[in-house]
Amino acid sequence: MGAPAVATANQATATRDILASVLDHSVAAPHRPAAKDGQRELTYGELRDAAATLAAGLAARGVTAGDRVALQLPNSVDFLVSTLACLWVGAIFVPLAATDPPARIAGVVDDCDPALVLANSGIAEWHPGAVDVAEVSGSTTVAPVDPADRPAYAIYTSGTTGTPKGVVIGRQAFATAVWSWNGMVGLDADTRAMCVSPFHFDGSFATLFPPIAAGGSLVIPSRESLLFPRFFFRTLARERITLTGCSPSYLRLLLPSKEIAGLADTELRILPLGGEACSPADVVRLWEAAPQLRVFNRYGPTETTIAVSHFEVTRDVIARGGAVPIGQPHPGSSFHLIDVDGGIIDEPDRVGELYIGGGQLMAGYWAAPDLTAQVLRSDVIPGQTLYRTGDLVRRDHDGNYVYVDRADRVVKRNAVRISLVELSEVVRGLAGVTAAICVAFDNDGDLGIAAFVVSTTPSTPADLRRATGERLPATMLPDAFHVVDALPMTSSNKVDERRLLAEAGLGVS
Amino acid sequence: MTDKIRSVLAEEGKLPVDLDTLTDDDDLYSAGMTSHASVSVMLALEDAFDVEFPDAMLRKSTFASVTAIRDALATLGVTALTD
Repeated sequence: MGAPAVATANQATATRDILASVLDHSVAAPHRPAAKDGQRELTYGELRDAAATLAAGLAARGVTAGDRVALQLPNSVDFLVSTLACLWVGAIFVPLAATDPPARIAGVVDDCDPALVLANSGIAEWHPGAVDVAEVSGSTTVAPVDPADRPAYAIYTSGTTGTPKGVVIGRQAFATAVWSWNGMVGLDADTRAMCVSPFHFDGSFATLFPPIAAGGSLVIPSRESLLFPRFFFRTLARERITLTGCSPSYLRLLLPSKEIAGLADTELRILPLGGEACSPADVVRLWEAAPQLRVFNRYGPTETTIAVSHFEVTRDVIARGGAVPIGQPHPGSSFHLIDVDGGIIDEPDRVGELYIGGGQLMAGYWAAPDLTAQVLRSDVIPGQTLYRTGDLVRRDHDGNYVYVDRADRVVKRNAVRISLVELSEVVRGLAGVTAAICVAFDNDGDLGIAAFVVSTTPSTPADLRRATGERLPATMLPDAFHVVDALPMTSSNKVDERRLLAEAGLGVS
Repeated sequence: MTDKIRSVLAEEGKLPVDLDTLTDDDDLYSAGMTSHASVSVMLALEDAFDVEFPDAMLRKSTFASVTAIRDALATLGVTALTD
């Protein structure tokens, strides 16, 4: 009777609820370090006690299962404790961007109508009525709610419409995404992870919840300090970090730093990149500094929970050239490529729009059934609910999926279809160029393409145009080249395209 | 010392406005200094004053104004006399 019992046990661990996992560790290893930031350091036992105290405080203030609790907190131990306390009482936690202007915060708060907004001293301008998380406590311990399939959190994303929508993710989807990644890289109690990306962006959860569910320890530096590459590298070395993750834009901020020379001597082994297209040129530079690193390309819209596929980048794939694949869907998830006529694409190398099915789909957009119905579709494959990503993807001959572009980012100029992602990659590969991005702009009523380039060698727009012209047909060349000192980033660590256009005096197309 | 700070900012701050129009207390980020530029400013200050900012001082706010920079350098032992 051993075999079936083991299979059942494995299945149970495979999607163990995140809070339940943390509580398991707090019993099995209460003195093991769990998380620290610049202010404090908690063991698993202390993390459980802090979450229990805050959960009791939430209950005492009348927060019950299904209520929303907005977290106006910077990257900090407070954030982690607050998420666990919300899971404890069954409240839906809603991270707010620490750097967002008050008007946007107010818009999100209006939409999700939280029972409470929690803030701490790391936030300069609190939302009116926000409560200091340190002051919310209760003496009457409450029992954790049955996770069942309750909503865990809601993350607000702008999307293409510009109006933020609350993506509601259930506990089961949350656990599935976390344990899929843990299973792939084997995170355990020896994992020491450093959180880099901002916690209001769900890509950041990939270095927050998987290590903590696996019993590892977290180091959560302030985002203001991580801006300085030297701080990143010193913290990495001092804390003996084994795992960290970031956006390709943040990686490009680190690559020119002279401290990168010491990366090979650190304990860092696993680096997932996500949130934007992964640049092969950047991975090559990274491996030059630290050949021992396992680099992963992570893919997943917020609507399919943190990440729904991972690809471990190999030397072969880089040598072959072209885009880095996004891999294959996590266990329990499925990818479907659909052509413009709604037909299913089966053969390799044909580009279609990606639809995703399985256990990591969102529950829906908060209080927006019409918007939800537009993207959670049951009319594509009968009997299945699929999320329509808006991403153009193809499958290569190895069976790996390859991201091509946003469906709305493949532009048509003079009847030629051009992927801005592929174009950016070509410009980024030019000698002396450390970073580049191509953006569509309004070229006197026509669609134009502007390339923004950061170069270590003095380059004029004419030089760049000539060098790009040696690699691409004239029909694909950008209309304008702009040499800039750096690519500015948004609060989600993506390149701020609007700002680049505005500073160059160009209009949005 | 302030002159030297200002010359580093003129060189590395990449401000869209003339530095002479800003007072020592004006916020450089509000005046358009990017986060990236503040990293260059930090490195150039270290070269110019022969100091190294400790990890605890590597924060955006350390470089937010001429006065903030002067105060930060002062805690590292740089004064008008030693400079």
